Amino acid sequence: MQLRRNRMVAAGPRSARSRGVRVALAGVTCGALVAAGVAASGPALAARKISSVPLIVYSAQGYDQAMVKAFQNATGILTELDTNSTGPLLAQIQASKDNPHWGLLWVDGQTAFAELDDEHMLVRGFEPKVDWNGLGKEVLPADGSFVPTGITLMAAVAYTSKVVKDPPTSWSTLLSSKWKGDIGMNTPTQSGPTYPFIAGMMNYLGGVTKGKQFFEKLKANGLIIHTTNGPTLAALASGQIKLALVQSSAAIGARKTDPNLRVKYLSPLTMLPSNIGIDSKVTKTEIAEAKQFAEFVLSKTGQTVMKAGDPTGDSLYYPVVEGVSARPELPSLSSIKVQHTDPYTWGPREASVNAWFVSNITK
Amino acid sequence: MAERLVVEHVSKVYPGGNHALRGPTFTVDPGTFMVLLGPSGSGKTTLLRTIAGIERLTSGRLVIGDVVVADGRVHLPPERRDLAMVFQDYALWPHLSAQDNVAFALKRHRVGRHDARRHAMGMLDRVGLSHLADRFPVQLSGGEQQRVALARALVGDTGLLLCDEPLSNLDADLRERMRVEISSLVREAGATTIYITHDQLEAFALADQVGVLQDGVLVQLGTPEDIYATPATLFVARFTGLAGELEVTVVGEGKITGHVSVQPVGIDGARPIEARVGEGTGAGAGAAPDGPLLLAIRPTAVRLCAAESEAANLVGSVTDTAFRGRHYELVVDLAGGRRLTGVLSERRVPRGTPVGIELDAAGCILFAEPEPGPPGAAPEDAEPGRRGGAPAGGAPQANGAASATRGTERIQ
Amino acid sequence: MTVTRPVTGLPAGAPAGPEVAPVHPPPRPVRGRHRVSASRLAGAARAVRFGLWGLVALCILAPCACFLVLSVSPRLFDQGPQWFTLTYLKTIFTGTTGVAVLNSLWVSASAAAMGIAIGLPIAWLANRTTMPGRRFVSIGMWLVLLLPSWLPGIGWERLVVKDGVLTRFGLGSTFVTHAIMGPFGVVLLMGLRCVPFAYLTITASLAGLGQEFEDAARVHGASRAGALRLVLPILAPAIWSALAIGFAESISTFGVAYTLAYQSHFSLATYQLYAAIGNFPASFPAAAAIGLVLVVSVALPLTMQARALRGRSYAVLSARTRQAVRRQLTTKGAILASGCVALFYVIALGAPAVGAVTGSLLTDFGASDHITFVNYSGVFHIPGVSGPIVRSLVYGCVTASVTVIAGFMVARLLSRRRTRATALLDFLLLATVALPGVVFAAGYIFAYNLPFLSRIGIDIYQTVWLLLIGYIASSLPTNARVLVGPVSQVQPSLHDAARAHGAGALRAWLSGVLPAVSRPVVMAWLFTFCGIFLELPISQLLYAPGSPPLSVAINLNIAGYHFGLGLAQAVMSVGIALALVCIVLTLYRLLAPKGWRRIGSTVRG
Repeated sequence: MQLRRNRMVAAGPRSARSRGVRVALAGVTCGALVAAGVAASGPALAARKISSVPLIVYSAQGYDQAMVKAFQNATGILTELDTNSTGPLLAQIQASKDNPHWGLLWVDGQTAFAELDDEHMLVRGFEPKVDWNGLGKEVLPADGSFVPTGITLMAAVAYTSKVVKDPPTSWSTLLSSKWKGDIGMNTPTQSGPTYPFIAGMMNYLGGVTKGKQFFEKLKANGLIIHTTNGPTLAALASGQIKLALVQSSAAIGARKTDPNLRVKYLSPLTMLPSNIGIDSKVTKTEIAEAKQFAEFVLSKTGQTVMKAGDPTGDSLYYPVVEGVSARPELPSLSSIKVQHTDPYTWGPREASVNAWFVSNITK
Repeated sequence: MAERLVVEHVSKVYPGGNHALRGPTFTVDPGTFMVLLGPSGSGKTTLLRTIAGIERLTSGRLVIGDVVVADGRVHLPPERRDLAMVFQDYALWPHLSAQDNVAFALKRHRVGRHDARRHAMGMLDRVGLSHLADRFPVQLSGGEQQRVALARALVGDTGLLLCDEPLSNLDADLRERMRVEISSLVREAGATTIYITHDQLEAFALADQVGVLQDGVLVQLGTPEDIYATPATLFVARFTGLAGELEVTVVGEGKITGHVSVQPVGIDGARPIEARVGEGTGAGAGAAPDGPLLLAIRPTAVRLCAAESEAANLVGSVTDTAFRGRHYELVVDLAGGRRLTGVLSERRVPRGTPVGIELDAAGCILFAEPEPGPPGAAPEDAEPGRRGGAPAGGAPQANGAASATRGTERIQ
Repeated sequence: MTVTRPVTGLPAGAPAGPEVAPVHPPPRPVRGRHRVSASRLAGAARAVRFGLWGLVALCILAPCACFLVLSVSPRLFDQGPQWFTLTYLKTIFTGTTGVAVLNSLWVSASAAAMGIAIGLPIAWLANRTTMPGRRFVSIGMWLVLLLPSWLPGIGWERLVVKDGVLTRFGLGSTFVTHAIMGPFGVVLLMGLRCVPFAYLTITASLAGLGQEFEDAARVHGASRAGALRLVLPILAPAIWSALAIGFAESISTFGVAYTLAYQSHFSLATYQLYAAIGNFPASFPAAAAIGLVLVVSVALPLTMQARALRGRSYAVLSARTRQAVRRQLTTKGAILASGCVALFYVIALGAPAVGAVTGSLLTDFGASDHITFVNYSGVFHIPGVSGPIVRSLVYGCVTASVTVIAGFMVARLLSRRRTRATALLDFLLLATVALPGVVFAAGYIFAYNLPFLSRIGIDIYQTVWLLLIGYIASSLPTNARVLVGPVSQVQPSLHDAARAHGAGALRAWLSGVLPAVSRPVVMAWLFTFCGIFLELPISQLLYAPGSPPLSVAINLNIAGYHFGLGLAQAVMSVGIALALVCIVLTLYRLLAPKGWRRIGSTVRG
């Protein structure tokens, strides 16, 4: 104890000096951090100062990073990507309605686009000069306010062959007691593709009321609501549920990690196009750049990028232009009936249907 | 009902091997006001806390009244010892009003809440605080807090009252007033009181009996007068106030008993001094001591006279003179670098004036060379109670920082 | 030894020894130069205070107010046709939203109470007894605090669901499943999260609670339990403060609402709020109405706190507090105490670990026992994955540094004399703790993306600056409240003493004040860093395009196609955060002068 005290005394001047060093070190560290922070966000800061107008892409697509890179390389247009889930993107767009900062929006589902169109937030009358295939023609909007880029389906039934030997064959069989407590799906408030599925079922069954009855019966049969594709498939894998009603691309992608996973298409399936919509309130330059982007996506090069960018996820789509084939993992659509729900009809119903779903089915 | 307190061979060893108490043994008769006097680290706080039951003793025996409250095996918890205590830092519960603080001490008597508050009020009235009964401790001054603490200790009418340096946090003026109050209130209550302090003035002023502790050992027990007149050791003498100490040799040969004549060493112009033989000189055996001896001089033994006076045992010059109201207090430098302090004078003596010093044999006590471990030099950390127990099996860690902090606290 | 030591004469007064020195009045500036500098100092202090208020108003209050005002006036920000309406406020009291709000209130209150019920005994055991393993208690608490709130939710779910981990080990029971997958589980999860808040607040307070209060109770006739009953109320301010912050944190937690509560069909207000925003078109007014309830609900614990503490003082009086003696536990007691504390950690940390492991190490989420690292190797194969990690590290560091400095100053403001202004500030800060991050984020868009701001050249939306401001503003309230305790323990005299001895203002602060608060400041820094490193809602809405933070990247995987990969990323991120915590704590141990560490430390022996 005495020793220690002595040592401390002896160390007096030195420790004062080393404290100075410490303070200096701390200062340098802080400075470096701030500098690094500025550097890390360099493009974002610099963006507003560059003379050429950058294109800001709001996207929820798995291949968007690859696409933005390819587009920038091909055209030299500075492109900035805000990749996010659909929900936050739309929330941002809506909150910044009076002073928008996005150039184009690229997400799944058409209802949101229809609503944005109704509020005159999208550039109308734009249709890229491409050779649409049958699917593409079916989902093309009449007023050219957005551009379909590919199609996934809602909802594919995913199951494990180890557990389920005879999968359901029609939507109505899901209501049988055989599947009591075994079916899971996403909630529309968290998962973008889920409202189109609900709308599709209502459309198929003959109206909102009939559709609600179907989901109420599903619920009575022990339907379990998860948040999004990922957690629903996780519940399937862990055995909590036996059938997962998820987006086709998610179901097929999941086969990579679970070879026993099988996907069953029940008729009819609702088409869920991914689309590009262009902000009507940005500069002409940016609008032109956005149009160029949409055209690039649908070009041969663009489609190659789209098919390779997220091979176990969003790249598992059905193309909308002639001459481009789907990835080999995707089953053929020839024997399956697919339907398209009109976004201008079903878009306005989204809020009330979702609210009903949250109050009555999720609860 | 005042209780008798018996302390027998009490020892306390803290984890880490620190011996705080080394077997003090004494008995305090019912109704006696006993002051334990000692410097920091002498073990007085530990002894008090052991009596209170807050600390467990390592060996020995404590008896309060007829009850053995602690020996090696038995340890009666504090609440069953029927005693009360005034803490150095008052230890008033900050969330209770003054009245509730006092009333709490009545709970053990299973007094109803209403009666307890009434009693508490009565007690507060006796300490002159009834008008502040609803105040919280933080709203009271230091002296008022101390009075509340005193009221809390007295209200239970316990047989034994413990006081842990209750005046040390007060300023000088308040201290003296509180001392008088404590003295009268406690004697009124008639309880047996154990009071610890490091201030010999306080001890002498309050005590029926004084026990002096050094390094966990009770070195002397007696009335204040005994202790002042015949300090058992040089330590006791020093701790109870000296004007100075001189190295001396015995004049002539023969047995050293009773009064002897001594000659200061290395002081020019010094005449032999009559001195009483204190204990610890080795004189008990009647043999001449081997080494040099020390003459401890009480301030009361020092009288000023003219430098040329025949009666002067020593000569020197005044280096400091302080006016103290009723008299002057001088510091006199002797030849050979020795110095006497606290020399009384009726009149002002200018600095540099040569003076003579006449010494009274009653206040000049002869001791052998100082025993090892002089008081005051003991490391402060030797009072483990204050540190809250050293960690087991390792060197105390908090030394540097902790003692520095304590230092600051004192100054504040 | 010679006899020339100074001695004291009896009449002269007290013997030599450490004694109360005369109290010197504080040094008064006498010369003109000093007076000038003093007034300049006061002016500077006033400027700093105004600056702080400005910061709080601009960065915290304005965005929140912009968002909340939508609940009655959607038209103000073009979110609906009405200039004034009560429609949205009415929905809070009806239907699903009403139930959710009610659920949130009682669940948060219970969770806060549970936090105290567990945190207080643990704090006591760790600080006042010789419980084995007490040194690890604090670190464990920090671990609990640093976990992302959704991880325990996922963990519990994996444990108790039908065919979950417990079932596979033959421990499954429908009773447990139902208990956890319901209100009880939600309270449990939120309560576990409140424990560290209670523990940390009460530990700080225990440090000031000297042994003498207990001793005094014992010698005046109280039994051990009686003494505890008497002394515990002295901790009331800490307890109430922990209750308030636990309540506010719980009511704003989205992680639990999103996972366990959601899975068990137990709706909470935050979930409804997110649902209102996540819907398309998003109903910001509806979300704002819920946000308003959350803010107002904070008045509940604060009012109770004010009532409980009114007119009382808990200031621990003595500057010369006797440090508490640890109670020697018997072997049996020690085993029992350690066992209980260990059980807490098993529950609080074990479940999230299960969630993380089953989710990321087993490809099929625990359906088999086949462990694979495919998800982890996958993390390294995603192109550009290191960018978000580095970015979030930097964001975390910058935010934590700025927040701690601002939080420290706000805490000083709060710990000084209590005026109406500081009381208001206190309420506003706690109220914002109760607001979920998404409210901040949306509020920022409304407040800082106004067209007129763009017109005058202030265009910070979708730049890193607004993101950083959002981060800072959302972490400041908790930070300031956590720092109030330590800061109020710093006596002005420490600073004055340094100044009086000739130190400049900065040096006085560095030598007089910083040492006393260095430890809590380091802890607050880490807490903020970890919070921001994995922060999601603000990142999602405010990040600058092209520079996604880590959490956005993780969330895209978890919510999308790559659940396992996302979890692996999350687990690795938590690992990175913990590694950084260890590095910072080690650096602190190595670099900080010994005395610094000692002062703030409350765990002794």
